[in-house]
Amino acid sequence: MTLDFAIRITEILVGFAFAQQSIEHFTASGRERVLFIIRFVLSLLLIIGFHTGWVLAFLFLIALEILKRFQGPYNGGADRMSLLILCCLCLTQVAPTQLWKEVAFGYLALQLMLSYFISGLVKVVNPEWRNGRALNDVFLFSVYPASESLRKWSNWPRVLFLTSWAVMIIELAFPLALYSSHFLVVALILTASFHLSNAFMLGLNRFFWIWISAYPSIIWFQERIFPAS
Amino acid sequence: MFIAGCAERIAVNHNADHNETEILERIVADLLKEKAAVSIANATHIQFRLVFIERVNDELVEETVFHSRIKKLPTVDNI
Repeated sequence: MTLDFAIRITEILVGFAFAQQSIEHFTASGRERVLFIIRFVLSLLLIIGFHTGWVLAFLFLIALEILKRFQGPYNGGADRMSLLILCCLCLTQVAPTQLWKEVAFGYLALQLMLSYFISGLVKVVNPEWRNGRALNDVFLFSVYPASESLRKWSNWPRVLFLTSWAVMIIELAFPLALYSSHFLVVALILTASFHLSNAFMLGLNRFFWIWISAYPSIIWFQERIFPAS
Repeated sequence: MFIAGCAERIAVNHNADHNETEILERIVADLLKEKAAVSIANATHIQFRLVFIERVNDELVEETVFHSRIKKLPTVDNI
């Protein structure tokens, strides 16, 4: 995958993710609705590739305004990743040389890798995660909009214990997947499935779309660091 | 997630007024969407509280960490 192709795919995917996020605010009132309608239109322009540099710049300004409006990232980690991807795409536009363009896009790939590894590290040093109780509590009383039937999974501690370890192993082993393009494909399928299940079970749909948007960066990065592997 | 974020910021007393208003506005908007359902038809004001649940050993312990200000609801005629 060439750098320019990976960047273009990222722009399209993030355009879809931003459009979807923006639609959620169409029922809001006043300035908030106007802000997100503009963001929606800019997202469509990003998807079709219309003056991408300017569109990214305006999306960045709107992102700053959204940060101010909601006193921080609106939706936690998903919006932080949205900002990260947007910043990296903006930097690829203003990079003075091909090398700096690669650095900006490679930074996104490294952050994506760390998002899994650090998350796994934080979990594995926590005894509550190691014995499965943390995931049990997620289903039992977390604020996520899980259905009543899903909350009954807290009655299955052994399943949740195994699930906890599966999640931690996938997250901690993710950096090793960079060694081979085949390993990386398997790892990305597993992590995408993880995000998809979170979207269905816990209502974390934003995470799925925005993390998927960053996947082209790591596919390009893997080929760049370990060519023909 | 946004509401949960607001609640956490109130709990640590970070910009509590702003976050309290955000939660109140969303509760009112949800109530108005229900077009004054039977359960709230006679309500004139609302207040929310934040109850945090923490596991202490094997027990789940609830603690009410915040009571919001009382906000007047729009009258049913205005809905």
